[in-house]
Amino acid sequence: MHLYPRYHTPLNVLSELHRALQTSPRDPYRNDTSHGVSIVETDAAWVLQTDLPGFSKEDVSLSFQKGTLRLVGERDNPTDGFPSKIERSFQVAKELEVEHLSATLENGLLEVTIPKPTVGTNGPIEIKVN
Amino acid sequence: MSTHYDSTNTLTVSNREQHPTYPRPSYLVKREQGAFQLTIALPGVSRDNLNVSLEKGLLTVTGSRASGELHPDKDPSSGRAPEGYHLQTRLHPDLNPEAMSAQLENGILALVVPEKESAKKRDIPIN
Repeated sequence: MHLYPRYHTPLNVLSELHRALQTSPRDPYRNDTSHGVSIVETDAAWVLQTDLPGFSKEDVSLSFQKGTLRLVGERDNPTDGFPSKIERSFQVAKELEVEHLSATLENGLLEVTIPKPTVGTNGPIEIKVN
Repeated sequence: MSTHYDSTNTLTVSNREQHPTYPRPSYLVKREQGAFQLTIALPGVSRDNLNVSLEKGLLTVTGSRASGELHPDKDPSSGRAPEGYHLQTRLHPDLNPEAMSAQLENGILALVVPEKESAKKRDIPIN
């Protein structure tokens, strides 16, 4: 069971991520500026999805530093006409457990799983009432 | 490079939404060495979820993105990902759809349709 401290709701945490979606550079092959980025939610995590058509996992590197998730992708001379280089950054709220990020890249879709924060589960704390 | 197979002439991608929820994917058209090449970005679509069909010169490509147990975020500003993609186009009569090849790799579908033999340039001898 995952619990959230009252001071932040999932929606606040998510809006940190959403604000970051606006800072990524525009991909040349898309007409809109969302560059194929979206967030879906499960019970245990948020999943950041981003489109990387033509890229396999050997072509990309994902790193995290000081609250910034950075994605860099490069593939050799594609003949398909889609981008050969991609660079995107996302700001991640510090409440999130960024030590446990995991990612998959399949069929040109990158999914980064960000576990939802948990409150300490050390068992009930007894409080003496005087 | 622009050719007489370019999007204003040949690739008449239907503007009418043929599919209720799937948007049209990004695509590129190219003509090289007597063939029409259509490459389509279909991120998240695997072979099992992709359908490419041809009927009377009308090419239809439909792919769905695997979603598993994920459900889209309720916040409208999240840039909701499409559940799939749909594209239709009529192929130019000079093309030979029987010889079309299709390859899907890393979310990019590459279709190549060669020209018909009868449509290729022929020199006419003068007696």
